[in-house]
Amino acid sequence: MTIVKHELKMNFKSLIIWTTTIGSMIFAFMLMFPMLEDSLSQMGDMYSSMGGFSAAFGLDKLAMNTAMGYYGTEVGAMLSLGGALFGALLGVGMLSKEEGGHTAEFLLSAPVNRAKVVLQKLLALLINIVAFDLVCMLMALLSFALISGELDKSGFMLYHLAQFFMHLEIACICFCISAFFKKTNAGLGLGIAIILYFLDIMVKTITNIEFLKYITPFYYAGAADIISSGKIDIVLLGIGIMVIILSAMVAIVKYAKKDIVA
Amino acid sequence: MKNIIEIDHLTKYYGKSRGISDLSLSVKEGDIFGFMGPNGAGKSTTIRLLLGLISPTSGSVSIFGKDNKKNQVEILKGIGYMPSEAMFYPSMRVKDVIDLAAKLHNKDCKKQASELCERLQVDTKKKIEELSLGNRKKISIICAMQHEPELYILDEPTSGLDPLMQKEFYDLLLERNKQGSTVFLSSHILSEIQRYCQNAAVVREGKLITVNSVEQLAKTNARRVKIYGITTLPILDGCKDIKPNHESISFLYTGNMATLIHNLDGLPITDMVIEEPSLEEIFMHYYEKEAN
Repeated sequence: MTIVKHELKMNFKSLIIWTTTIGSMIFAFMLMFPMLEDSLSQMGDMYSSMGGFSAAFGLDKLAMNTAMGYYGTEVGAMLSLGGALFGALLGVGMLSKEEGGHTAEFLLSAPVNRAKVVLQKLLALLINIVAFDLVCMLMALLSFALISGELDKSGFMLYHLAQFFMHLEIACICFCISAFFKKTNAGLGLGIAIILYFLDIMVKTITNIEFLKYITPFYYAGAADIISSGKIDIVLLGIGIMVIILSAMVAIVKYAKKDIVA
Repeated sequence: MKNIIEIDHLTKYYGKSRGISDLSLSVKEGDIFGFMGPNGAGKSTTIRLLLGLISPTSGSVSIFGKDNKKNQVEILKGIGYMPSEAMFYPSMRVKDVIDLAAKLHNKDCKKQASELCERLQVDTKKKIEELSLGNRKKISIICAMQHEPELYILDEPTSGLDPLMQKEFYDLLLERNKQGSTVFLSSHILSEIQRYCQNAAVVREGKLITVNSVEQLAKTNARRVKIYGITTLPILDGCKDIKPNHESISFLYTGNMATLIHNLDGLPITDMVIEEPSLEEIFMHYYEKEAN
């Protein structure tokens, strides 16, 4: 557990910055809801009938003038993208920073099995994402309580569960990719997260490319579908969990055999 | 005495570029073994192979009598390693790095660590990013020594250290060696090797050139000959490194002395010096590619 603790310490600052930023944005946006409620009701009809635009942001399925609808459509995007970017950056650097910073020789000349090094780093990654998602969820709950908004408990919990898996999946994909690199490539991590985000918007707006929903985890974690149907698409989530496990396994196998040159 | 390190026909290619090829050597228990060679000769590659940081293309390494692939973790427990670049996590404090190294070894090394910090005059409250190379090297020494390993693998350990610290470092190393530890020391500095090592190997372009006791390596039948009064040499076998000056000529001679003297007969020689070459010269001879 030495490496888990070490990683948590090393990433603590970045965790605090990300959770505070995203958590407080969620909080602030929800507190604005009572002021916006009236104007949102007037615009609700218009927003829900704007075709592709409405579909992209889930406005065709959720009513923006309810607290839950506003949360899912307006606030949820921040949690989605914020968590994905946080996970991607964290994942893409976790292994490769050792070689990039020339600390790999220090770490890997210690009597620790390589597979265990990777597993401990994965565990640290998991803990960071759990912490991020938990804090964001608590901030959201607190804001609902403060504005006395009507909370769809099961929809809310399912949505946050799906968000957590989506953040974890993106983090694990980036973690796996970084096992193949010698330097941390933050741009690559951000690129992956952003491309997957736009794939989701494309699936929802463009017809005939529905198969892409099997690729982007943003799809199964979308607020509109989960809150309106009250369930997560179990097939898509299953694929997501498989991707998480596969990424972790590939990273372990690759890293165990990797030549540590620098 | 048993072998602590056994390298058997070890070859490592990075894609097509050579790391080392067909290197075999062994290091006996209690030895201080020097590992020499010019830059890019494959010294660090060999050390990384010993530690299992990279996998060989072919050949094998055994340390403490165990294959280093199958028993890597167990072997690493008994090794203290100093990389040539002493890099640590920049945001961490010195004491936390030393503590982390001890924890990774699963060992309480507090007593050793504080003793080493005192002898090497390390300020443990500083952050790694504030340290110079020399000071990082000291941390590296502590991390390599605090768990009292059986085998030290040191990659250019004294670079960046001031002469006083170099001496302190070698004092420490000799103490550990007296207690039974074996040392594998890669270095450029011949005087270090000559002073501290019992045996040494020279590598060049990934190949083992020679391995012998330092005493034997320094001993050679070559002689540095300097002749005043002439500036050209009669044609003669066994002359190397010929350096003509305006009044004299100097060369390394490995041939028969009688032949040399016979060939010099009748030349306008004013003075002549024949001496043993310096150790530096001998190693330059190993380092450099065969000129002819």
